[in-house]
Amino acid sequence: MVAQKVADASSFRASELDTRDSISSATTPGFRHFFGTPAPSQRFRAFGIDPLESPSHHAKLRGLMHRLSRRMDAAIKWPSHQVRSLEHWENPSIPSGYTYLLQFIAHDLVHSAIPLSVAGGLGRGTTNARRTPLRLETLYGSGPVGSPHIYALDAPSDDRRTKLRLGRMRWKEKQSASGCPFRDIARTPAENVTGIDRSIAGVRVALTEALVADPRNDDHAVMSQLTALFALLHNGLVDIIRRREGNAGPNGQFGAAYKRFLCARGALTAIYHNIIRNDLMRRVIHPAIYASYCGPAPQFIDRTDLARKAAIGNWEIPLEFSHGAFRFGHAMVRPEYQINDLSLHDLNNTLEKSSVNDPANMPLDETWMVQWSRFFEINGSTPNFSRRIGPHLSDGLGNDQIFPAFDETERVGLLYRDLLGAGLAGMWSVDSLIAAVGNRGPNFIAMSRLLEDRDYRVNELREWLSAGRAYGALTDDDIETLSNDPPLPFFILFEAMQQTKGLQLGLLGSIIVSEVIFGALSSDPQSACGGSLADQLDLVAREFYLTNVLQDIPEISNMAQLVELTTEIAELRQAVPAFL
Amino acid sequence: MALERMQVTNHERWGNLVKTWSTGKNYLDDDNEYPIPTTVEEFKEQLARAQVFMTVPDRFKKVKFVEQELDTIVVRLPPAVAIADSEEKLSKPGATYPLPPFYKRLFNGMDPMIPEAEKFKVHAERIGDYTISYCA
Repeated sequence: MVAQKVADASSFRASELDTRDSISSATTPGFRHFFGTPAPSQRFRAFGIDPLESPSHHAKLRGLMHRLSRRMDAAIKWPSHQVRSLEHWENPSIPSGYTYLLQFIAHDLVHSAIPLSVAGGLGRGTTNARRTPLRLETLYGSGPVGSPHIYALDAPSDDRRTKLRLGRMRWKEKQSASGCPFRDIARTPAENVTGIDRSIAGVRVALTEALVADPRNDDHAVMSQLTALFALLHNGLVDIIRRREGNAGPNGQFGAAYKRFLCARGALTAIYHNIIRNDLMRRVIHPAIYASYCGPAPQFIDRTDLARKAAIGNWEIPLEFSHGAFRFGHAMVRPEYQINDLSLHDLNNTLEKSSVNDPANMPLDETWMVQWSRFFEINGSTPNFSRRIGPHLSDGLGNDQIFPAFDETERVGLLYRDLLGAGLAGMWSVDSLIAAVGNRGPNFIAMSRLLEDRDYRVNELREWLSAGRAYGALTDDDIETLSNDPPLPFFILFEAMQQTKGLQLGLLGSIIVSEVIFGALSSDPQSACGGSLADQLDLVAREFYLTNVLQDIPEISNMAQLVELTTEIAELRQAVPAFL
Repeated sequence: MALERMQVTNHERWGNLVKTWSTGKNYLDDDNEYPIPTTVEEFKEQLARAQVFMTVPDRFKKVKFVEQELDTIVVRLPPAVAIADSEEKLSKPGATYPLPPFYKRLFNGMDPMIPEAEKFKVHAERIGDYTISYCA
C-alpha cells in the first residue's frame, strides 16, 4: 500500500512524500472545524505552542507524537471476559465486519489526496473531494455516464450500464478459469508508458488496476470483499427491478436502464442508511448518546445548517472527526482473520492483498473469499470479533513496507501518522472541545467524570502515560503536556478504554461521531423522515415506476440481514467457498 | 482453542535485532541499547524499541536465550503440543502450510503455494531444518 491517492480519514495506505517546510493555516476546501474554527487559544498545543502558528516548532511536535506512539505500543491489560473462549482483547459487542463497514463509511464521507501527516500541513493536496456524504459515491462513483469503467455492459449493442462490474475469483492451483464465480472486485492489467511491468513472465499477468469507483476500496482484501458484497446486492436489486418493471415502451430502453439503475441505487442507499442508523451506530456509540441521536429529529449541537449544506453538495467534514475521533476504527483491527472455513490469514497478509501491492496474485483466490458469517453474527455464528477500543493498535499496522517512515523520527506505522496528522490540523484542544460541548449540551458532560472533572482527567492521563515509560521514553515534560493537552485521536481511544472498557466509544467520541454520521443521514430527506425501510423503498420505487417494484425486499436493519438477502438474490447459498 | 503463535510484522528488523543480540553490534541503525533481555517484558520492550511489531501471546511467561557454540550440537525441540496443533491445522481440508511473507519475494512475487499432497512433508522438513540449523 504505497503512495497512492488516499483519504486520510481512514486509509491504511502510505506515501513517500516528504514536504515539511512551512504550514498553511488556510482553510482547506471540504473541511471545517467542529463548532466552527477555534480561536488560537482553543487549539491543541504541544509544550504550550500552537503548531499552526509555529512551523519551526514542528520538530518538537514530531518528537512528541513519536514518543507517544511508542508508549501506545505497550499492550493494554484488558479485564478478562466471562466467556472464556474469547481473548481478553476481543470485543464481543462488535464483530470485525463492522471495522470495515466503518472504513467504507469513512471513504463515503471524506476523500483527500494526501495524508495530512505526510503532506506536513493543511492545504497541500489535503482537500476533501467528497461533497455529498453517505450517498454511496464511494461505490457508484459518478454513475454509469461519469464512471463507465466500473459498470458492466447490459447488452452488446448499446451503452446501457446498470450493474457494477465484478471479477472472477481464482482457485490457487489453477489459472483463473471462466467457470469461477464473480466474487472479487473487477481487476485488469494495464500497459505502462513507463515500461514498468509487474507481471511474472509466462506465468501471471499483473492485474494492477482495480475497477472500482474509489481506489481505497481495494486497500486490502477484506475491504475489497466488502465492496464486492455491496456490488452483488446492487446487481441483485437491478435484477429484481427488471423482472417487475414491465415493458419500457418505444424508445424507452435507454431511459428504462437509467430508471432501473437509479431505483436500485436508491434502494441500496436506503438499506445502507438503515443499517448505519440501527446497527452500526448502536454498536459503537455510547448508549446514552445513541439514544439522543438515533431518532428522526435529533438536536444537533454542532451546525444547524449542516443538513442543508450537505443536501446542496457543499458538505464539509469536521477535522475533529476525520483526523480525530473517527480514527478509532484503527484500534479495532485484529491481528488475524479467519476468512472462511479454509483459511486463517494474518493482518500483514490481509493488508498486502490489493492490486496495487500484490498484482501478480490477483484476482483474490479461494483463501480470501470472505464467509460473511465469520464477520457478522448470522444465525448464531461466532465471528471474528474486533479489538476492544483503546490506545493500542494491532502489530500489523506497524508494517514498515506498508507504512514506511517518512520523516526524521524514522517512525514506521499508522499510529504515528494518526497522531501527527491530528497535531498539524489545528484542531480544538480536548479541554476547549469539552467546554464547547458543555455550553451546548451540559447534560452530556455531567455524565462523565473524565469530561467534567479536569483535574481527574489530567491525573488519569498522567498516570497512564507514566506507567509505560520503557516504551515511549516519555520525559516528564512530555507527560505534562500530553496529560494537560492530549491529541484528540489519542484521547478518544483513552476515553473508550477508561469509560467502556473498550467495548464502545466514550461520551466525547460518541458525540463527535454521532454529530457527523447522524448529521449526514439527516441531510438525506428519505433517511431523515424516520419511516420504516418498507416506506422508504416504496417512495424510492414510486419515484421511477407506477408500482412498488421493491415490495419484495424484506426489512433490513442490520448487516446480517443484508448478507442473507444478498445470498438469496445473488444465488450464493451453495457457493464454494461458502459466502454465508 | 488453537495455539496462538508469535507473529512477526517486520522480519528484517527482527533479524537485525537477533544479529544485534548475538554480536553486540547495533544492526538496527539507531541509538538504542539492546542488551539480551532476561524477562518477557524486557523482550517486548526491545521488540517495540526496534519497531519489530511482533505479537507475543500472553501464554509466554519466560524467555530463554541459547548461545550456540560451534562445537556443540544444539537440538531445539519444539513443544509436542505445538506439533500436534500444527498437524491438526494441516489435517483440515484445504489447509496449507504457512510461509512467512518474505518467501514470496524469493518466488518472483508469486504467493508460495505448497501442494496439498506435500504439506506434511514440508512440515517435517521445516521442523528438521530449523531444529538443527545455524541461523547465521
